[in-house]
Amino acid sequence: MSPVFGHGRLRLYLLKLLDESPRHGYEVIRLLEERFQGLYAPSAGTVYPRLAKLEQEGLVAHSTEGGRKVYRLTDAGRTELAARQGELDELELEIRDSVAQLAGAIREDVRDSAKDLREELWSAAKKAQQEAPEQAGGGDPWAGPWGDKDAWQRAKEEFTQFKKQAREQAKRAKEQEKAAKAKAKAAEEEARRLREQSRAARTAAQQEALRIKRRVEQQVRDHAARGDWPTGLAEGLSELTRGLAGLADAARWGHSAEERSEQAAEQVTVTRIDLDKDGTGGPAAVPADLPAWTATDPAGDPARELERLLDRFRDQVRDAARDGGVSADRLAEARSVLGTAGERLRRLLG
Amino acid sequence: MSQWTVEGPDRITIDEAVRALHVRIIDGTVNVVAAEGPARLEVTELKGEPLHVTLVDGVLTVTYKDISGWSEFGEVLKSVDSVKGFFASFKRKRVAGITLTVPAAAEVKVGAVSADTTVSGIAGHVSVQSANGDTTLVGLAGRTDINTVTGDVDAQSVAGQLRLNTVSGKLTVVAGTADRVQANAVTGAVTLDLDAATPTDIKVTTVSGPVGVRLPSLADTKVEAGTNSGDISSTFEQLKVGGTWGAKRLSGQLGDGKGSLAVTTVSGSVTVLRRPDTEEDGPVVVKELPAGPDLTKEA
Repeated sequence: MSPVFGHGRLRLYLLKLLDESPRHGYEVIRLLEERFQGLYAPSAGTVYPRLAKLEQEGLVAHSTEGGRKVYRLTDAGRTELAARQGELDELELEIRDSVAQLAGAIREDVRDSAKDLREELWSAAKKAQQEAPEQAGGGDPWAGPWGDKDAWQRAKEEFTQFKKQAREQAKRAKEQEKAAKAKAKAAEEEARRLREQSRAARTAAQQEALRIKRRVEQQVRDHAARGDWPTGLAEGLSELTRGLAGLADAARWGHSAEERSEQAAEQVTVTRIDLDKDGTGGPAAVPADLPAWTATDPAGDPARELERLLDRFRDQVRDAARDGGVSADRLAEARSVLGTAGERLRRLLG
Repeated sequence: MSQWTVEGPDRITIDEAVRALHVRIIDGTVNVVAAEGPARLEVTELKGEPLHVTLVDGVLTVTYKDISGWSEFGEVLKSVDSVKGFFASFKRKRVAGITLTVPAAAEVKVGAVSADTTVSGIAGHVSVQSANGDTTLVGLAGRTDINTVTGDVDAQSVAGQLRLNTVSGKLTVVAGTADRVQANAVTGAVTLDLDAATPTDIKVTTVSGPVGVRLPSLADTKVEAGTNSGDISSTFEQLKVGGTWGAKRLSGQLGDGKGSLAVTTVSGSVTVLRRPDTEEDGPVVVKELPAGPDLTKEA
């Protein structure tokens, strides 16, 4: 199937219609619709630009009658029409003859007007971008993003600014990072110092406790050797109490206030060491973790409970002695522990 | 059921009522024109295989025998010879020039590989699938769905709901009066010229295709357009261009903002223009009259 309308063949129609009589735009549309057997009517938006184009080419002229533009053929238009009369007759015959040709004509016309529209719209778009460069972001839509100088300049400025901002931001970020690193290092240092201090404190406390213990033992032994039991015990106890009180005084270790909690923890440890080794504590020191056999029935008769407690105590000691064996040294130590405890209990109950 | 085989240029008048038209061809031309009276088929050109025409239950189908449906495709697979024949048949170039005249209310479905399609004056649902054929639409009034790969789509005076999808074809709407327009393109340019007096919902999406929209100066719509790296411009003072470096937005409201215009593109440019008023001798009434073809006239 050959194309129904070669280039510009539809224009011949417009020329022919205007040759018959001068007409205004709407009349042209109506007659075109008639020619297309009512199947197609070009819209006003497509016919008027086409008439304007013909006018530009000098084939058509218009005059204004009663507020409307009336188009008429010029001499040049008549010459053009006469030269292509054969073509026009053929076209008319084809269109009358077959719907296919008619449809082809419709297609041709719509394509033409679509092409016209694209040209018109995109050239208008170009103009809009040039006229309002401060509003539009660039230039010619077909010429890449930076069509005109202004837009390019503006984009460059924006880019420079953007770069500056980015650089500043990067700098700030770096500084922050450095500061954070320094802080982390300081914190680590502090933690290490604290660890060392606490270790030193622990060692000092252990040594002090050991020293107190040794002194008390020495005193008690000395007194016991001289047969002066009560004095030795009383002195030993008072010495022990003094030593423990000294241990409890955090200020003695030269630590600042914030380390006091750690000191308190150390104290507990120290207290326990004393109890485990000597079986006695200061009057103030009541260990929290008494062995299970010391449990008493609070509802029972206190005297009976004491009896039972003593029984269980004897069992424990005897079991331990049987398991571990008894040497002369151990016996001496056990003697001193039992003596101390017994003396204390006697005072407590007596 | 009626059935015809068309071997060459021919004209067939279908006496039974046609409510739907299905056309599946390879290359050539398909014209569908709305008109009163019985449906007619005009074959002006035919190369390669004969055309297979059937009318079943008001559905007129024009296609080739071997691609008329998947059930027939199954038949082809039954023997080696028939498979060979099937593929050999594709090697011969098939060109068909066909024109159909159907009632305006008919549903029209066209599938074409490289054939150009023209549909005019239909008020029913029109759908065209095409690889590289161009599509021309005139005076449609119903739902319209067009999908092409590289083919251009030109739509003039189309009302109703218009949906156009293409990869690299140009989408152009001339004097559109549709109340819903949806255009998607990858690299193709989208050019919309709208002449609707009523609020319209327009949605355009492209990847790199430029988008140009022309609205009537009295448009009643909310505009929201954005591009990542393209340019934005507008001749409406009410619309403001904003955005940071690179990405730009155009937003604002025309009239009461009942309709909407949403344009999204990655690197395409966006232009929203004021439609020039038609010549002074074309008052609104006159302008509206020829908007759709007069279907009451018969050839």
